[in-house]
Amino acid sequence: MKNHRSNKNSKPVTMNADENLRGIQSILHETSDLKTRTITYQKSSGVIIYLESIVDTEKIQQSVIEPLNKAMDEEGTVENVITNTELSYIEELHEGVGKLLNGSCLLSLDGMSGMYAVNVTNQLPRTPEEPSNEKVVRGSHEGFVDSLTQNLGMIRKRLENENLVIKRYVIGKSTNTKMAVVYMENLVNKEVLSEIFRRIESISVDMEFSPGYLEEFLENKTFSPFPQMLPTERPDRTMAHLLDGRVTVLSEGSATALILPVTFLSFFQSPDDFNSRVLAGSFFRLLRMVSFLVAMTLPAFYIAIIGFHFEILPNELILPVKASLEGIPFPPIIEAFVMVFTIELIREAGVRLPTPIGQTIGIVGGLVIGDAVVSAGFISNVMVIVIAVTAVASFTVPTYEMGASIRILTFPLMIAASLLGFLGIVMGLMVILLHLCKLESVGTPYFAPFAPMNLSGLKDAVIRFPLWKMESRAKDALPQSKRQRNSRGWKNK
Amino acid sequence: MKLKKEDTITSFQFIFLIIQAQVGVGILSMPFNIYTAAGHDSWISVLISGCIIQVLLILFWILMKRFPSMTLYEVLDNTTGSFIGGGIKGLYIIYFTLVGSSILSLFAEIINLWILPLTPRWLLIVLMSGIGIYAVRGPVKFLARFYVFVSLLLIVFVLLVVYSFWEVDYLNIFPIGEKGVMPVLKGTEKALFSMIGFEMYLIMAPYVQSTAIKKLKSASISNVVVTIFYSFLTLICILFFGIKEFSLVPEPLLYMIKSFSFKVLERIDLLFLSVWIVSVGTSYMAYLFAASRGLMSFFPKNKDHSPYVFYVAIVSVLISLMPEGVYKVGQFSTFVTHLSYIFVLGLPVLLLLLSLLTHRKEKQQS
Repeated sequence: MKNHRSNKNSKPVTMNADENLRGIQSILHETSDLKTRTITYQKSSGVIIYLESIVDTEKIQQSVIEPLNKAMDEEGTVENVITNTELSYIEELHEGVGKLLNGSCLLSLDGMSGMYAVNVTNQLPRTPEEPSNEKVVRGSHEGFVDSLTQNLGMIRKRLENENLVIKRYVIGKSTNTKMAVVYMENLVNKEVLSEIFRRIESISVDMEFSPGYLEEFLENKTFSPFPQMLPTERPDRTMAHLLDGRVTVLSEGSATALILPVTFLSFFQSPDDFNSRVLAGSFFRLLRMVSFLVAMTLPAFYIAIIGFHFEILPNELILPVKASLEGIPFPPIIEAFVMVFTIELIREAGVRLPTPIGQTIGIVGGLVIGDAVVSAGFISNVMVIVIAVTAVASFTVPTYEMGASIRILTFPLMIAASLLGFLGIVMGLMVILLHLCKLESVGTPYFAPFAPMNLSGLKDAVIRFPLWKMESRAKDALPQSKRQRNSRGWKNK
Repeated sequence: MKLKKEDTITSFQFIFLIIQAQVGVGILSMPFNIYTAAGHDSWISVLISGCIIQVLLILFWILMKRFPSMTLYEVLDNTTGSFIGGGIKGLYIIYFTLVGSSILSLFAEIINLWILPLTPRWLLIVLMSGIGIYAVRGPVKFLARFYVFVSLLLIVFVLLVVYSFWEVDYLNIFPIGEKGVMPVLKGTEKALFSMIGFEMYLIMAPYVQSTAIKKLKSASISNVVVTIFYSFLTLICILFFGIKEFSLVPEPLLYMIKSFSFKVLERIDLLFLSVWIVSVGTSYMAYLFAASRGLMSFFPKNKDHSPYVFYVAIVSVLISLMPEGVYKVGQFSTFVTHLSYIFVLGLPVLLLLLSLLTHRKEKQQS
């Protein structure tokens, strides 16, 4: 890993250990967690330098001090004596400081023209838990944690394959956050990959604290309502996407992996689809897609019908709808806005509250407001039904980001419907569709396999075909080879 | 596989580009227009005009095969010289803009008649044109993707119409050929005008990345589909309305669908019109593209038509606002369709003859 801290005026390591220590102290501005311990090895005195806050002192004791003490009088180089697996020789002071900040300790000895850096990082493992926003009924309940190394380990464990490649980057001029780009060498499209590398290399920011940061630097259209990368906290999902020839970006300190390039439909797939039976899986997936349409257009349709096209309702329906509208002081668009706004409030309040209070908010919001607002005569019954169905539908999308973009798109459609009726809805949908057709995720079409239309892609993306029928990979990421061939060969024998 | 950086479309997308350019604003009144000329033999007229279009497409194909990487505009420059060619190019741009305006004009008229009687025309026209601008700016491949996707709506179109099979009287088409040949031929002329849009072949062909014969194949498929679709619609309208009633319904498809009602939806014609709006949008986009692509050809340095879309759209909006009232709009669209004699039939054929006589061809790069 190349260290970004090294600069032109970097000083070389001197033969004098004390002088090195002073140099490092001045580079780190005399920080108080910089600790030292003097040591004598083969008659030359030296010093061990480390940052107390990020190293494991036990490791220093075991793998540096003890072996050095034991080998005090024997012949042999430091390389032969120190038992740690990660040992490097350093000749520049700034490079040494970089290592220090990575969790290494430095060993400087009098009369030696360099320093040794030994990796003694303090690992604070967090046990993998199921990600709370991507729960599944069956299948793996493991989720990514905040440590990059551990996350990479989880991917490696699932993909025992020599083609799995991990490329490391350091991003953030102040934070020096470690990042990893993971892909399958034999599957990934080389042009997509080099485009991703090109984009990552051009990032120059002060701080990188979450994949959300990264997403904005990598995506084509920041002001699009649709997410162009798939954030996930599930290793199994990551693995499946890697095997479709996609690329995953992980960063230190975050449990979210970014998958790119993705399509619109990847946001509607859940690992559950493949854990359940074919028919059930297809049904649930179709249900989610219908719910996407419902969540986006239902309030708009209702507003258009009430405001413009009452005659589209059959006779039997007109009376109940008309009766519920009786005496409502607001036009339907205001009604709808008030209700949608209330639901967004409840949601936003519930997200950040601890679970018991969140439930209370849900009850207060859902029951009290919903019921009271109707009996007070502010909002019509039918409108409450419409908005409630819309809200529930918008939460069926398995990814939080896509759910959010659906809810954002509801508003312009409602306004359009209140101004122009059906015509407004159709025009609004046309613009959204055009936008989806124009959107690309790292050079690959976002709305595939709908646009460009690809019939064989549709069978995997829209309904979930039996696994043994899906012989080729999804084409949207332009992968290089086929997925599988004739896995049900036993049927022919 | 390779990431496609260049702006090309597949021959599959080409089929739908032409279909969507052809099927448009005229579809609602098409059966009526043909009926006024050809009576209950209208469906024969549609079939004959489909054959004529096929012949024209073959002529277009011969012309464009000689200039595989050029659009009509570059072909004009190449065969007639930059002076005369420039003039004709200008006329073509005006023609395409006029067709665009007549589409907008008719669209606003029908929306005013059927859904929103009080909404000002300019608002409808400006909104539609805005969508057109958004769609046409940027590479053609995005437009093609959109066209293929919205073609799914044509299935809804057909299904809504097919429902009327339960209500028709098959005797209405008899006796076939009662009025003789002349009315049928006159009807053919009307049908031809409703099926205008296939001249997009001259503009889009170089964007298609496939062999010349495949381009012809795609264009032929789209022509066959549109011909069958149109004659089917005309036939159903004749079967449904019969002779006496037909002359009273200027938008026969809408009147026909309006008469059905389902358990959940009472007015299906509203649904039908919603689908129709998309078709109007796609044909307007096609002409917007054709005209702005033409403006681009005047500036050889520029490789992108996007900057000119805006100007074409503004001009088309202004022109479309000029005719007011049903009759003026009707006159205007008749005028524009008569222009297509020159621009769709005459000039391309002349151009083909000229390039054959002078042995002009695009130099192949080896």
